Amino acid sequence: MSEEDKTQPPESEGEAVEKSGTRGEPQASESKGSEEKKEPAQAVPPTAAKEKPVKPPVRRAKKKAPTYEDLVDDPLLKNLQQKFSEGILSGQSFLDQATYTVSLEVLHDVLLDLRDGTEAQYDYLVDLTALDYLGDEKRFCMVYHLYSHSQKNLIRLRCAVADGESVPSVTDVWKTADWMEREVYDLFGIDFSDHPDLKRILLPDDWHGHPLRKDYDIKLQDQVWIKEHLQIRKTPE
Amino acid sequence: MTTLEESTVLDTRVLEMNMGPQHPSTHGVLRVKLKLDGERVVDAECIIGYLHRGIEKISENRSYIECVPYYDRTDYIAAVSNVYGFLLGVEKMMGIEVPERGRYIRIMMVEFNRIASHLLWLATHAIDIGAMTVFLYCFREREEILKLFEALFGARLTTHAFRVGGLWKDLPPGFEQEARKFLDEFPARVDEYEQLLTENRIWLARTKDIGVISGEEAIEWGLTGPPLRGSGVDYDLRKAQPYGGYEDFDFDIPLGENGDTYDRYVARIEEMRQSRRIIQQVLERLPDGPVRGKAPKIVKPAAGEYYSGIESPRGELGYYIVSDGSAQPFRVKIRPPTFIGLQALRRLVRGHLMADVVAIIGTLDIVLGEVDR
Repeated sequence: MSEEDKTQPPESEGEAVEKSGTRGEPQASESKGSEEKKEPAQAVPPTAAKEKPVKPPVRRAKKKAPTYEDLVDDPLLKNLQQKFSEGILSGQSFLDQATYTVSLEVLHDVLLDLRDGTEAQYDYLVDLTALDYLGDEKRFCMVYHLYSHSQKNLIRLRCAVADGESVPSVTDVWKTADWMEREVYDLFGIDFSDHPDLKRILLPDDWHGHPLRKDYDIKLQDQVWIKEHLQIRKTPE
Repeated sequence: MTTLEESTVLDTRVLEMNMGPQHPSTHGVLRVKLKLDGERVVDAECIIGYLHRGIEKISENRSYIECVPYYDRTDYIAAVSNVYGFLLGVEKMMGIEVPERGRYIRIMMVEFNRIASHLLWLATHAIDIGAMTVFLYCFREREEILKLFEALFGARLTTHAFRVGGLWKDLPPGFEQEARKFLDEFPARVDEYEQLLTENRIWLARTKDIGVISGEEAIEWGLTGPPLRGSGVDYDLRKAQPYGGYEDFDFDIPLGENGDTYDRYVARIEEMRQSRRIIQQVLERLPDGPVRGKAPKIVKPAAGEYYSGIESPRGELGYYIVSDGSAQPFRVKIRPPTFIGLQALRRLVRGHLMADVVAIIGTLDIVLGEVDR
C-alpha cells in the first residue's frame, strides 16, 4: 500500500458512482474494499442489491463535478460566429477555460483571425496537440491553446479531423508551430498541408507506426527497426 | 601571397558539421547539424529524440497517482516544478483543496527548485564559456538545496515531491533553521558570482549582443521564461495567471532590454534573488495545520479537460489533461518549455561564430529529458 491509500475516506466511490449515473445505489456506499471489487459491481443491474438500505449521498452533495457549460454573451464567440457563421460549431467553458469548436474548413482562417483580426490579439500559440477518439466518425481532434498577452487570456480551439484528412499547417501564423506539428505528425500520423519540413521528430525517421494512437499498444515496438538498428536478433513477440 | 587568379579557384564550400549528440556543451543528447561558412554559422538543424521514453504514452496507461513520478523524469533538474504543474491540474479538476500550510510549503520547495535549477544553469553556462570557478561555487550552493530536498522528500533529484491534495508529510525538525541559514548566506553568494562574471570583460565579450531576439519575435517562436523576459516581455505565469497561492507574495519580475545572452543571464541571476524573497515570506508566514487536504483514494476526475500552466525555471510548463472519467488519464499532453524554445536555436545562431553556438545553447537552458520526454 502506498501512502496515498492510508488516510483517505472512501470519497472516490462518490466520484465513480456519479459518473456512471448510478448515484445513490447501495453498492456505492457499502464497501471500503478495493477498487477492483467495485468496478464489476457497477455492471450488476440495480435490482440485484435492492434489499440493502440506501444511504443518502451526504458527502456528494457539496462537491459537484464540473461540467461543460455553453458560453453566454461571449464577445469572442459572437465575433467569430459573425465572421465564420457555420464554421464555428460551439463555444463552451469547462472549469473557466473557454473552448471553441470549429470545423476543419475554417480552422486556418480562424487561427489567423484570432492572431490579427480580433481586439484580443491571441499572439502566442501556447500549445498544439491532438487527441485520438478511436471509434468516432472523425477520429482525431486537433487542440490549440492560444494566449493573448494584451488581454491576459487563454482560450482553446478544438477541431475534429478524420483519419487521412490533412490539417492546414499554422507555421505561417506562428513559427513555433513547426515542431509542435511535427510532433503530432510523428506520434499521431496526422498530415499537415503546407508544412515546410514535415518529418518525424522524436522517433527515428524509419520507424513504423504512431505510438500515441489508441490502437498502438503500449508494449508494441517496431521489431524490424529494433532488429536492424540495435542488433537484437530475437525480440519478444 | 596568393595571386588573384589562384584565390578564385579555391573552393569555399559550406561545411556541414555535427555537434553532438555526445558533446558536453549540448547539455545532454542534443545533436546540432551546423552549416558553416568558415567560422560563421549559416544554418543549424537540431536533431532530437535520443532520450524519448514515451512518457505521454505511459501516462495513458497508468492511474493519475502512478503518473506523478514519471514527470520527475521529464525535466529532472526541476523535478519539483514538474510534479507541481500536473497536480495543480488534477486538483483543479477534482475540486480538491490543499490546506494553506501545504500550499505554502509547495511554493517554498518550488522556489528552492528554481534556485537550484538556475544554479546548475549558471554553473554549466559559465563553464561552457570558460569560467571554471563559478561552476564550483554554484555546485556548492546547489548541494545545500539538494540536502533540504533529501530531508523533506527523501530524494535529491527525482523527488516525487508532492501528492494529490498536498504533501506526503510535514517539514522534518530542523528544516526551517537549515532553510533560513541558507537564505541568510545566499545573497552574498550571488554577489560573489556577479563579481566573477557581470563586469568581467571576457564574459561581456562572449555574451553581449550574442543571440539577440526581439520581444515580438520571441513570442512568435514560443519562447517563455527567462529567454522571453530577457527580451523585455513581461510574462510570468506566477503573475499573469496566479496559481497555487502566488498572489499572496511580493516579488518582482526581472526584465531585460536587448534580448541578448547577457540580458538572459542578468534576468536569471535576479530571479534567484526574487525566489529567495518568496521563500523568506513563506517562512515568515508559514501557518500551522495539516499539509494535506482530503483527497480520494482513487483519483477519478470527471470527464473533461484542463490546461494547467505553471512557471517552471525554464518557462511555461503546461499540462493539458483530458479525462474520460476513468482512473487513467485519456491524454496528458506536456508542454515542455525547452522543447518549444529549442526551435529558436536555428534563428538565434544564424550569423554567429561557431563558438557562440555553445553560449546560445547554454542561454536557452535546455534539459533534454524534457525536450524528448
